[in-house]
Amino acid sequence: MTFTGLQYNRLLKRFNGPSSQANIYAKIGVGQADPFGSEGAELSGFTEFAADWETRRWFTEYRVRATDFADNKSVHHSVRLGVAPYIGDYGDLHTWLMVDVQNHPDGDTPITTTPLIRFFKGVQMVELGYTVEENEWLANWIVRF
Amino acid sequence: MTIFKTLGAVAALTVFAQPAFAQDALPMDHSKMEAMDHSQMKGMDHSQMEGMDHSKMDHSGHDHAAKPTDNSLAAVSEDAQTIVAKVNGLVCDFCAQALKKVFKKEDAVETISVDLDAGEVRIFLKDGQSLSDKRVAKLIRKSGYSLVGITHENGA
Repeated sequence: MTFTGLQYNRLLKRFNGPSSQANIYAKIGVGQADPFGSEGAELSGFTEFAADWETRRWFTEYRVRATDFADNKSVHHSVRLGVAPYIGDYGDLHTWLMVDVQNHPDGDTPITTTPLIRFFKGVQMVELGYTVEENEWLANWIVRF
Repeated sequence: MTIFKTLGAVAALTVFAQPAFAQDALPMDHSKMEAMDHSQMKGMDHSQMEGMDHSKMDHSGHDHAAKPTDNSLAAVSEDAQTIVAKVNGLVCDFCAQALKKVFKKEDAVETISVDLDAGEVRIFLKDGQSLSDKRVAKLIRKSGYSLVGITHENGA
C-alpha cells in the first residue's frame, strides 16, 4: 500500500563514543494511504521507534513501527545491517552496503529481505535496493537542510 | 504493478529535529567576551589539555597539515586563528554536516573542517574575531556531539 504524507523524526537520545555513536529515535507520520487507489484517499499514520549503533565501518539498526492505514492496522519489526567497503574522509562520497530484513506478521510475505546500497556526499543521500520476496525496487533520496 | 515500493515515502517530508537536550542558539554579543576569565569556567580543566601528546595518536595516512577538500578552506590563511575541538561521536559524514551548518551561523567563524579519523573539528576564525570555549562547547552540543577538549592555535 502506498503512503504519502509528512514525517516528523525526533532524536530522543544520543550516545557519543570516541569511535561510535548510538541513537534512539521516535518518528510519527501522518498522511494518506493509497491516495490513488480505487477506495480513494484514507487518512493514515504511523508511529515508530528506532535505535541504531554505528562506527565508521559498521551500521546496525532496529525499528518497530505501528501503522494505521485505513482498514490495515499492523505492527512490524525491522533490522538493518550495513558495512562500509571503504572509509571515506569528510566531504568524500561515502558508500554503504546494507541489508534490511522486515517482519510483517500480518502480511502475505511475513519476512522480506532488501539488499541495498547507500551513497551520501555532503547533504545528500541516495539509497537503492531491491526487495527479493516482493520483486520490488526501493529508491530513497534525502537532502539535509 | 508497484515498481517503487517507497514512492509514497519519497514524497514525505522528514524534519530532523534537534536532540532533546539541545538548546536553541541565542544572539551573542561577542564584544562582552574580550575580558572573559577562563579560570572561572567550571567543569573544563584546561591545565589537563596543555600536555596533550599528539605523538600517541595513530596518524598513519593522516596529515594534520593537509586540509580536507573544501572550497571554503581555500581562502583560509595558514596563520588563521584556529580552535580545535576534540569531539566524540564523529563517525558519519552525513550527520556531521550539522556542524558546518551550526558553526557557519557564527559571525566569528570563517569556516570549519572536520576530521573524522581524529574526531576533531577545526574552527577557523575571521581576523580579529574570537569565540569562547563555552560557546564552542554549546555549538558542539547543539550539533549533537560531545566535546572532549579544546585547544587553540595561532593565538585563537
